[in-house]
Amino acid sequence: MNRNLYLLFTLFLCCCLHATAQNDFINWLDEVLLSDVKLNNNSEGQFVKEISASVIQRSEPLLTSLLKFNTPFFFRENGYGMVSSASVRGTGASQTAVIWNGININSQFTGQTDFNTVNTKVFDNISLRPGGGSVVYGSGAIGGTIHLSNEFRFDGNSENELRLGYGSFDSYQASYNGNFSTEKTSVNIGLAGVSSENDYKYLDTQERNENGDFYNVSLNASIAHWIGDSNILKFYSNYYQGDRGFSGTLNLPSNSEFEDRNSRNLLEWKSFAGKFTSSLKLAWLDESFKYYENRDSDNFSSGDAETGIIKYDLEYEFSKNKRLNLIVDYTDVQGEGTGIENAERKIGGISALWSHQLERLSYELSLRQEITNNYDSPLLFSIGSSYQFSENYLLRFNSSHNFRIPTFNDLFWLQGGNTDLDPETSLQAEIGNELKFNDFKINLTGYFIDIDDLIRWIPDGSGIWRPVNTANVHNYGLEFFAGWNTQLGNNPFSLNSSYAYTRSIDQETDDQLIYTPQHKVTLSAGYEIENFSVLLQSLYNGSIYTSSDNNYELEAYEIADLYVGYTFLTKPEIGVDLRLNNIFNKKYQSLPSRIMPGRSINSTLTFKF
Amino acid sequence: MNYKHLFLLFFIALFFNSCENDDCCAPVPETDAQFSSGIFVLNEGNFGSANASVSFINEENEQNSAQIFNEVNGMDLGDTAQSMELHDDFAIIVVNVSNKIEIVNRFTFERLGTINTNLVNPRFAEVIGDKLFVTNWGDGGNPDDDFVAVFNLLDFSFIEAIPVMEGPEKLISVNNALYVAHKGGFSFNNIVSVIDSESNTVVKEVEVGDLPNSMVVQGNDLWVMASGKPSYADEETAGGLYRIDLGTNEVMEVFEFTDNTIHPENLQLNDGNAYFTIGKSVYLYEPGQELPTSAAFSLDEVAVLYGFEIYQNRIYVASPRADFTGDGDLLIYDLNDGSLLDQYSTGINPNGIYFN
Repeated sequence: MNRNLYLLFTLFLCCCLHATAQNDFINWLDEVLLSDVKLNNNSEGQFVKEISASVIQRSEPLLTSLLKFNTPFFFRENGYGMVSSASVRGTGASQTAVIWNGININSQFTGQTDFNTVNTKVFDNISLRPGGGSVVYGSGAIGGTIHLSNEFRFDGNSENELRLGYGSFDSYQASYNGNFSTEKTSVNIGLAGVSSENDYKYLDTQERNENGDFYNVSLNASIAHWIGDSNILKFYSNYYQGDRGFSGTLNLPSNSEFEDRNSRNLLEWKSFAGKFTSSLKLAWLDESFKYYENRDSDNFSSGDAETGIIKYDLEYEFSKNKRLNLIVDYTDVQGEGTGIENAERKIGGISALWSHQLERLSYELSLRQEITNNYDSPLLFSIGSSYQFSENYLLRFNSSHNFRIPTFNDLFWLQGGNTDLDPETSLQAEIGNELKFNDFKINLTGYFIDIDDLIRWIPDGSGIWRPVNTANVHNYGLEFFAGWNTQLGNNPFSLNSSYAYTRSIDQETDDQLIYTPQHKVTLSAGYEIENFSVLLQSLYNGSIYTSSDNNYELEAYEIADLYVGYTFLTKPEIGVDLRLNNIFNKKYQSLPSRIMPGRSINSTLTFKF
Repeated sequence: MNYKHLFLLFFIALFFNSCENDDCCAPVPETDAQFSSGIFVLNEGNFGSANASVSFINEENEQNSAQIFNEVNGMDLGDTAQSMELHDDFAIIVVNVSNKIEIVNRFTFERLGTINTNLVNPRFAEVIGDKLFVTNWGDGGNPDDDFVAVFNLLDFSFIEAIPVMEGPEKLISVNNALYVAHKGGFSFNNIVSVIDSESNTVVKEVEVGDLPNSMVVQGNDLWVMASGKPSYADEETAGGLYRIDLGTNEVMEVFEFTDNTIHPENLQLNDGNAYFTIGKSVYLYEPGQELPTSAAFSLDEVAVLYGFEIYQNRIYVASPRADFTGDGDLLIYDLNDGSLLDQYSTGINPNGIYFN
């Protein structure tokens, strides 16, 4: 049963219930198929960039590798596969939120997501939305949000894909994805793993990347089932297990090991009744880690945080183009670990989202207030609007008030934790321009962010490092995305580029924040001809300061990767591909002394059946 | 037998030896050497970034040379330089995270050797005779693997490791005895251990206040300053001064602060008076008298009081930038009234001042 038939089928059912329900269906479809409906419905005035499935498939499996070549965001990596954090619009690592099927999964301990602990192959859709988003996505949605989502289908088909890869430094990669569906039930299974000795040579030195070996396994399952005609139950589950040696630096040997265990579960009951759509979500997240300073010993430090979320979202559609959502939610987080005691957070929240589409003008107003005894919670808001001047030109505007709440480490760390911290808050605005000419699309956004009460760990009078609300930072810059997807002699050709100009200025010193490049560029080109496909990806990272007095910097670098794929058979589909990473064998590092790999190669065999 | 003379002889022989294939280098007279008179500031750099350095400052001609180890030797010093010991012609630099010791000529800063074995989290060094003693924390999480490593200073070879209690930090030699203050490493400790430098054994463990951080010798007494446990400890404790008799190695007198939130550090002697710091304030203390209740003065220009020395009626403070990135400062104060006399820029995160 294909999608159109499904639509007809449900349409028919629905018409029996509501004579005027035809338009609901289009809405329903999103609500039913997508996990992160708000990204679709509540991004007014902001640009959402979806990374295409083919790019995900042709990229390396770790999320850092995918995003660094396809976004203007800057990534700081402690070496390949090691701890990695993002800087979006000049913000810090904990000011970018990673959203898993609509739920913020940034760590309770560090406030950030390690982008090398996410395997992209278990997700159906990866999108990014630069700009504020705390009203919907909570803490850390200041620089932007990155969305990892799974989607459903009810077309009665089943599909399996198996990929097996091997490459330099004894790297193994494998993934399996299966989709099965009937008209009433949809099941997606994803399983992916990577392992590598990761003992690459540091270019221009005699040394190797020692103790950088790692493996990780991700399991993702999502199940949806219709109950009757207007109720659907959806369940998403994700488990991640990864062990890494933390590699040393150029001068620093290491013998440490880090173990991550994360599980995320989300149950949603959605029901449709006339102009009402109701959604009840229950989520349970568990993150835990163990750190061995000496991997040969039994001594370790650890942390474990459990999060429970209950959220009720009632949507009322006044008319086809007027919609109101009222949301109440409650979150309870309990944490414990080495150096952390009695870490607990209970947060109640209430939000209202209003959106209205006129002929050329759309706008959206949203508000959120949290109540907690942990910190003084500001009133969060977002105002977004867009105006379609012509079919070629769309103007966007968005302004929002966002926050980043203190982490468990900030609040409860025994050696200096500060329970009097306030959240970091940001007031920000952006203007975006979207130009479309046939196959050619450009997005150009200018933004300004005023971040107050930035939390920093600094030594107090007696030399104890403590977090305090101290700095005020102004970020401003330009962000540019361009894409040209066309046919060249009847063969698909695509050209994509992004650029970010970023200023992130400490208001006390007037200096650029450390680890924030002023310029970042990406450029990629893809071409398919008969059974062959080629993708060339490249990036340029401008120089970054490594000290707050701007006296020290790391030099700029540019790197490029090449992908070549060939499909032998079509039924079942069998293909082989080769990835050449860092083809010009460039020595580069995104953090001091953390040398990244030189040229390396990877090949993958793909079966689809 | 005078070890010093024997050593000098050996050293000169070594020096001439190393010059054989080098037509440029006549032995540098010590008085004309580049760094013969002035101040070394040790800059620990950022953890994991391998950007430790040594600055050389000459107050007389306002000379300020950055990165002298790197400049002279054409290589990086390493990751997190912890301390430096000046002994005879040697400057012995302990590089904590790199787990190594660089030994250079203190007048030319030319590298003489590197010790990079048998060190785990090395902290401070002291020399007795031709033996080099280095305190080591071992793995941070393991309280039972701490040791004092002993090396032969003639050929930099390893002699043995003396197991000690947790967290050995600063050490001071008195005749043939070595006194090691155990701050506790990543935990807390409250002892001074006494090591016999001939047998390389711990002969006594003397209990003092929590976190002994500095020691000075006056006459037949060893004065130990304990800072007390900080506020994040299970139980915060007050700092105090402990007088240990060097003959019996017994604690003879204890002077404790009454307020648990007072954590003194940096005990120094000058002209029979003792000085110490609490936060950025300097206190004057007459040994044997009651502890002072008010500060002599406060060093307000200091961002972080990270290294503190008193030398020839002046106070020298190594002050990193407040966020510990970027270049720090050497601040020089008048010991009499606490007025700021001079200020020099240093490398990243200065932690120690050494006078040549």
